[in-house]
Amino acid sequence: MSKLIYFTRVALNNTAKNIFVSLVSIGTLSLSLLILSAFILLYTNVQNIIKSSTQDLSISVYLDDNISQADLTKLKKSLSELPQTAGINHISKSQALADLKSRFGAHGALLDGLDENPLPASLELKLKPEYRSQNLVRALIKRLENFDGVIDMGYAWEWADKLSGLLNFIKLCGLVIGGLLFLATIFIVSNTIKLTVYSRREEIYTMRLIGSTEGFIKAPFFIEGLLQGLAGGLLALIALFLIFNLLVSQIKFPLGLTVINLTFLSPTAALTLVGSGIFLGLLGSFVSLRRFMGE
Amino acid sequence: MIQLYHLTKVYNGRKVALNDVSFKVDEGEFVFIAGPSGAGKTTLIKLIMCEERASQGQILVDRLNLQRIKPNKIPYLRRKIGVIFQDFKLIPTRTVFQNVALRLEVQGAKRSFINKKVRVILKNVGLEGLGEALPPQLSGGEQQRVVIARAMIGDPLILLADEPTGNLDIDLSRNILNLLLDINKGGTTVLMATHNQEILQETNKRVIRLDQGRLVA
Repeated sequence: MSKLIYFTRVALNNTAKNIFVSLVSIGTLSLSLLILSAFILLYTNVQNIIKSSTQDLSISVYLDDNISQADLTKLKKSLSELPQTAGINHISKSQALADLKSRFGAHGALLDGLDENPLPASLELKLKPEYRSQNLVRALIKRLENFDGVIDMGYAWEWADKLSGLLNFIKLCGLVIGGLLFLATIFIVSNTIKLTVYSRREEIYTMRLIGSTEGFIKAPFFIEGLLQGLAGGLLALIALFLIFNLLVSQIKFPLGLTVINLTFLSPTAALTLVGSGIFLGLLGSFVSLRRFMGE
Repeated sequence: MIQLYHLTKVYNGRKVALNDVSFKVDEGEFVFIAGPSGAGKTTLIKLIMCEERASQGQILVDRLNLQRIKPNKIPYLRRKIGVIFQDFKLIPTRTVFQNVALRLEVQGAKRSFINKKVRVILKNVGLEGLGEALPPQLSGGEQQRVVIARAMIGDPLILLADEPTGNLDIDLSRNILNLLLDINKGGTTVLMATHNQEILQETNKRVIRLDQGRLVA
């Protein structure tokens, strides 16, 4: 324990002596982690949106206004016989308009000016969980197009599909930028530690000559890297939290999209972020000591 | 305590610093290593403290074969050996107290023990009250005493002194010599390298003479 206090004291002294370089190192570290974690935050939120929008999986089968009762009954029967079907819900034209009004909330009165109801009636086809993969849904939709009295089809995944493309793009950007930042951060931290090693090289040499073990000499440098990583990780987390809250308070969702719930990093992800900072700091020290302090 | 067998040290494959040197130093002995500069005195000290390895021959310190010692055991060897470096090797940014304490710190000693021990040793070498000074603020003789204090604070078995009176006048040199003789009386084996003839005549201690890397007497 007393050794740990000693090493930490030496590490803090080293940091204080090279305060400017240390701050640059901490700053770079936190900036890298901030950018990386912003990608993760964006990714998880887009993923959440997709997940929540596809949870209630149903296909809206829009009906021709002139469909006869007999055709409707036949269609309902055919649909209910499909193995994919968990249930069918008929939504009339007036029901559709009422639903839209309620989604518009306070702006619902806007719809009162309509001369006639432009919305089609529809059958809401609920799918069994095992048929909820995108490919199966697409295949089903192709089949439904051929049914009589069906004018169009809508499903929540139409835009979820588009978001999936975006998700892949975010992932790719995150990986490429994250990877580059990762390397740059290790480079900068290792150089900061190198400067400390360099400025103390005669002292280190003397310590060796008077019986110091390599571990005793190196431990403070590892603690220095660890502390820089910890500070960088915490700074990144705080900055991300502030920016996230600022953005969430600024964003005005378009009509009907207020249900989207943006979430901050989970406690585990936040801990991982700080942990990554510590890991990067330690790795920087390790690289530096390997390169500049071989016996 | 120290045994050398046909010890040879060649730098860069060309410059022969020590050539087939053999001798023994008994426990508790005080021995001078004499010779002009370039005779190999400093090289000899570096080999004994394992700062460098011999090119040929064997060297035993406290029954430890230095040709076979593993790198991770070297620190423990060095804790048995106090060294008075020719160029002092004091850390200019640390106080006298901290410089002396460093030797115990690297051995993991407790702070209270270090504080007590450093105060006593600074008093013994006549540096009482100078603990908070930085080395550059001290005279050559005072710095030399700090180095002696640092060398002695771990109660080493062996004290290696490389030209400890090098830059000092004869009075100060006698002073330092007497300090080393006192340390030797306490049981520490002392090996003192010097080219100062006056100092050699001050005592009747054994003298090992080197010239151009060879043992001449």
